[in-house]
Amino acid sequence: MAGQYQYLFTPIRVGQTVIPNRIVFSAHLTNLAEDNLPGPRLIAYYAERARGGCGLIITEEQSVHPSDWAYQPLIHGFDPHVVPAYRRLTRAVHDYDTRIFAQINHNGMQASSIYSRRPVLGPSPLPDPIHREMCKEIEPEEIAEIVRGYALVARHVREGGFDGAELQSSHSSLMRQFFSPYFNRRSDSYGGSLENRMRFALEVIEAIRAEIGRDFTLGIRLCGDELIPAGLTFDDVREIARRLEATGQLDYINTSIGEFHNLYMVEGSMHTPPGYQLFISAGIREVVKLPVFCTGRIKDPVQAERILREGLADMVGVVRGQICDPEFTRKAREGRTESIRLCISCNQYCIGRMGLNLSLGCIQTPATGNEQRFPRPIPVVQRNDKRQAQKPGLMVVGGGPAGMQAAKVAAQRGFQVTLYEQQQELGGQVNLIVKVPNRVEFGDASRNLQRDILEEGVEVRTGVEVTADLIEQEQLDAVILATGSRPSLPPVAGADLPHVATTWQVLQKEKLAQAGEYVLVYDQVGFHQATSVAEFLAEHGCIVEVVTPQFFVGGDLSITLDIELWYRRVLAKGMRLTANCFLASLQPGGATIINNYTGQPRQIENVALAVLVTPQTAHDTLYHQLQGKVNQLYRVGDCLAPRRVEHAILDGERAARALSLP
Amino acid sequence: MTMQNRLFQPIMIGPREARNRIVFGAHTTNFAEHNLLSKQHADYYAARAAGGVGMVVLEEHIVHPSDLPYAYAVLGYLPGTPVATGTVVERIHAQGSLALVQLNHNGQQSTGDHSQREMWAPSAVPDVSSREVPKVMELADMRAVIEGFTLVAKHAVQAESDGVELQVADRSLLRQFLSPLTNQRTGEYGGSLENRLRFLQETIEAVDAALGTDRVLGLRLCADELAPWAGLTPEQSIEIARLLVETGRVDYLTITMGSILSTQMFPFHASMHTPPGYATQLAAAIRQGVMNHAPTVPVFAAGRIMNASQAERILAEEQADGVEMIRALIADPRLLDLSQADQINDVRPCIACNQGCQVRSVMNVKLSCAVNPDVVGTDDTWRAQGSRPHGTRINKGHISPHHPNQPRATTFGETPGTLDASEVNTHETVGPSNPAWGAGNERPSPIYRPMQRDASPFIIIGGGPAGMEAARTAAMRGRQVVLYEREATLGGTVVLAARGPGRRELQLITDYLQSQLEQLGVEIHLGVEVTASEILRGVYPRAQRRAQDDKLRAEAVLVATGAHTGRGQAPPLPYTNEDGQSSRVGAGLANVFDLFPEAGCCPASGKTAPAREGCGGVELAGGEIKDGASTNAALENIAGRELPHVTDVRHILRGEQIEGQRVVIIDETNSHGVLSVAELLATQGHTVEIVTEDWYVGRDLVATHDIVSWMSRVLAHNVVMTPHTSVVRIEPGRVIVSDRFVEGERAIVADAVVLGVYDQPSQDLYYALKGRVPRLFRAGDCVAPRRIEHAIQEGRQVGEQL
Repeated sequence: MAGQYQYLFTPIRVGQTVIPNRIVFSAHLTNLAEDNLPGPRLIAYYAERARGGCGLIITEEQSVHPSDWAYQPLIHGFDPHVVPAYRRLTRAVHDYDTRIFAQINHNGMQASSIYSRRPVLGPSPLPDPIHREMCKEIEPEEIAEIVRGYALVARHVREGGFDGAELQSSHSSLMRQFFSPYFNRRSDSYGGSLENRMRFALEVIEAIRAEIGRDFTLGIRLCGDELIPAGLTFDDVREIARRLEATGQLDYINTSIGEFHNLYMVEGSMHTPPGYQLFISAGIREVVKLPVFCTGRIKDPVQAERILREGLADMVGVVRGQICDPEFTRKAREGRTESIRLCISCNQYCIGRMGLNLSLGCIQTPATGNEQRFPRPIPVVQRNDKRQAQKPGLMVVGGGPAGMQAAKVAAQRGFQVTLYEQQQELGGQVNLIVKVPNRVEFGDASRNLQRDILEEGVEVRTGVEVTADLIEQEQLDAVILATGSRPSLPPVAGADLPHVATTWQVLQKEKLAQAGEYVLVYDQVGFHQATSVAEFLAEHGCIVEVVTPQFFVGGDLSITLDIELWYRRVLAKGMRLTANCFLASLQPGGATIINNYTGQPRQIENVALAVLVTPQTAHDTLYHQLQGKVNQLYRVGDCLAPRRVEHAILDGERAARALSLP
Repeated sequence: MTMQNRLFQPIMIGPREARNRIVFGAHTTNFAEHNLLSKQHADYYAARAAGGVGMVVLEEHIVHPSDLPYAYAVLGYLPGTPVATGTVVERIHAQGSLALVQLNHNGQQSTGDHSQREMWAPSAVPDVSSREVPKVMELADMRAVIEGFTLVAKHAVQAESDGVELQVADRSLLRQFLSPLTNQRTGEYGGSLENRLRFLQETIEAVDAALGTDRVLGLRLCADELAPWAGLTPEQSIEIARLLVETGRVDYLTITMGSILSTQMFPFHASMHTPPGYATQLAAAIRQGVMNHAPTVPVFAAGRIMNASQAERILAEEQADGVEMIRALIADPRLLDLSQADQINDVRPCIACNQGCQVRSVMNVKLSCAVNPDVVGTDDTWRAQGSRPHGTRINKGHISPHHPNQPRATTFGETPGTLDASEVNTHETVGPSNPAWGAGNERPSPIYRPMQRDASPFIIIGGGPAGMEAARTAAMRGRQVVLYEREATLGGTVVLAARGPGRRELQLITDYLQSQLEQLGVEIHLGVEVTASEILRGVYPRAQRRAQDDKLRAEAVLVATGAHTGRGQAPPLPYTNEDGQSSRVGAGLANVFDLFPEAGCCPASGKTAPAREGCGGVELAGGEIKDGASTNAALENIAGRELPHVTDVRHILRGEQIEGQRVVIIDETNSHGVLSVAELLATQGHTVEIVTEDWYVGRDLVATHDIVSWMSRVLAHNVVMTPHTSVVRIEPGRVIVSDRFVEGERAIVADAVVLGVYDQPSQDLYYALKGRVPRLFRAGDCVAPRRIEHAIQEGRQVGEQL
């Protein structure tokens, strides 16, 4: 029994499969497939989670038919060439005590034709809210062919060495679209009554069993509530679950919530409560005897254990938690819960990159999706000269995410690392982010690193401003500068007036307006900076207007699935949002903005505070002073180019891995 | 052709002679494999070379790893480049064209998304669209980039190309060094013009040395950034061009216009809303400026040069020595050959819609063309050659090897129930490509055969782009075709769409198809609506038939009946629930949050979640299982849409005049069609407000580079934009709306309401015929209402399947 976790490490039988623990790495997009097949990059990704002790991996969806090419790197499960690739994947996972299922899916009308060059298929002619392409009403002959596709892919999966398969009937699937009275408006035998709407799924299950037999684990992932009018409700889904169980052909039920009208509920960010989908699994578990899996912001093993103890689910889906820390399960089992690198549900580099057709990553873990580029364990450096016993010395200047990551990795490589931070606290700009409403969880990104560098024996000196002289005095093998960036004000007339502030000044409460006063937030950046500060000021009682030259305020919040809830929160506070305008000038108590397209100015009066959110400036003075004076000099993070946290941490990792010895 | 005696004259470009004055300019295709030029590239370029172009400039070869602008960029620094590029060059040379390699570094117009590292640029100025801050280049970085340029120039030499072109235009580090917009350096590479030129000069010097004396070094130069407060101006650019040609290292200049900061137009591949030849005057000015200094350095004009006569005029007026054409040659690779042979009407016209060819985005879509189905932007197996770039992959049509004898469904095209298995697959192969096209893997156009007048005809119902392309393809393959169109004119929705302001060029494609059908002798009946019962009875109104037949036996029937205005999607927000109370979908969502403390378990709060029993109390919106009738009438239309002051986009484009001043447009689609109607009504003097659930008005205009100019035009007419807002219902004189994120409703005064809703397929005829005629096909919007490219592609496929 693994210490505090009575249930988490109790094996469970699911269908034909005995799973060693209750942690499931549920299906999620990765965009890591190569040539529409699982390749080395994807295999390395899953193998790393298996190595970390995860009980069950359920892969991303395997497409059942060429009419479904919903996104570019979608795995074509119908392609017979997939079988050898599956074998490579399952062998790599089975090297560890981990089971692996494949998810099987057709995305139906939740797709576009840009890759397939064929019409998108759905139960009824409707446009998908994200892709906005009208689908073709699927004909019965096509249904029959797709059903055969499911059976074919199930066979590929079985031949490929998987332990089981899962049907997707959750947030993006033809199967759910058939279930849904919103998406399915057919009048034939596939539409109308629930019996009819379930016909497609039942045909699929029957075809799969006919193809591969009863002795192979098969489950289904159900969307518990579409959260749209006339869509599937929780009660509908409980009834569906009951009827599916009654077929006797399924071995488990996995769960989720939402669909493409509300993706922000499918993959909730830090602005949704942890465990926000648990009522789905718990409610379904009430009506079926099959094992039920849960998901949704389950962040740590303590929470997972409680879910099991309280009977809310039989298996606990930890996806982002294991994207962030592949060793989530092993650390829990070994009693090192505190060493788990906690996911902060920022959605910046995992989910955010999916929508952009980019490979999956993690802001805190550069190796995620890059397992081959950043292999573990990290090679340790050793001196070749007579000082072999003496660890090589590295100074890292700057204790933000970039500096801490560099320090951590360098220490793992055998460097004696001293980390200097000018402020009293480590964390850099993360310490500002956490001052914002609902962004407190971001602080874990800093706490995780602080704990790691402590464990790695990095010597930390805070409150010390490092000068070039100080560095030159030390006998160092390398120096990594992570001195960050500073806010800068744009060359706009009046930017030097006293009512003009940077985000830093507001968050540090150096400059604030009183409740009831008018505040202008001008946003040239489009990410969380401006929206956070605006919300911070609105919570403070200010009357806030956000002005942006972009098409809409908060553009990049859609990447992290934060935009809907942000609009809900701030519009409820009466915030005014003004797009398509740039800031022309500032006057005492006022500001002038100009419409990009008409040139029409608008004078804003009674501005108590104008917060200008513009790109930061690299703080690179020290770098330029040291150039040519230090053996190995690296620059990482914002002092190289002011960007986002993920870039800072990537830079830190890369620099620390590049360090060498003469 | 005597009219074009200048265009087709040879021209010396540095040490090489081009057979004429048309350059197929560099552009992104996403055809690369493993970041090298591919066979698809070779086929694509070779087709244009075979069509007679004088010089091909291969798409940008990236010179340094600090630049990975998109996933399928060609990375010229990779060691595989000489072989991969050499193969393509050879194919082009075989067709008699010169082949140059464009070298580029995108600087701050790149992205760190793919490389997962920092970008490099002269100064820390973010691009206005990506907003990503680059690293300020150090001297060592600049040396590394110049070494990259040198390396890739050497690769171009090893590939036996005729030389290289340096990108100093739309997206390039070299321009960023030239322009004070992006170069804010102090020191020897910033400030004065001389300093800003230094990096480019050093690059040219290094590349020139790498090339040797017998190859071309050209520049694609942006001569006006349309940002006069700091950007490059024509006056400065004349000076720059003069200084550059005076070095004696530059063999030609191609002149472009614009930067991303231009507010009046988006200058890269400007759409149909920008006049043809919009940058020609600029080329003329530069040419004038350099002529006395380097009379042998030709200047090429670029930017919406659409056909040979326009090109000839530019040369006749001595505005340029040659022209760069891209999109016109994508639309028809044989443009030049056909023009020279006096067959100008046979040229498939580019309509500058930018719907298929603007592929430089993170989605990695391969280049295609809205009007030319032969440019196949995918390796999916519907393409005729069936070959995949990755070798011998499967024919995806055969997904079910265990059931070889069962009919397979098709996603469009022939109805599956009526066919034997060998015909049902849409992926069947047409004949091998005609080597005369030099097109290889590029899909061949159908080869003309004389029409078989005595054969059973191919009946096509619907004369939109799908029906016309099918008719043309079938007729070229020798089939007798009878085409019915309900309206008095051919062209379908395209003709209607072309009535939007500035959209007239759309109709070029249907006019072209119409003239092709006339030439081919296709039997066309306008103003005739054919019914299912007529088809089933073999009664084809007005159709010519053989004397001995009292009935006409159709070989096949194609339904291409297009689409009609839909009833409006169920807006997911807000909605009226069963009690007639206006409610919000958020109800379900809000419940999740309200329930959280009980339903979830939050380690931070220490609250415990209920056990299995406790969750029984969870009630979300929805209530009873809706076993039985699932269609909810409230979902399927916008309440009040039947009121007399409500009309739709189709009616307006058909010429319906709106009474009253205030018009509200309900925009469900964010498409060009709806937005052009907004512009039309605004220019007619109406006060227009556009209501959309989207985050902003105009989404579809972004990808086609139309949004900036459209915004400028409609905002000048004070069009009001109301985003993230749902329509609750329409009432007499007003529209009741609700912000998607705020509780409560409000009314917008509306003398008229225009529905910009999604179309629905006109598929009744198809279903009436399905299973009851020997061979039945359908194509275009009656499959699913989409765009021109889908209609034309599907029409082509059906024509090929006969």
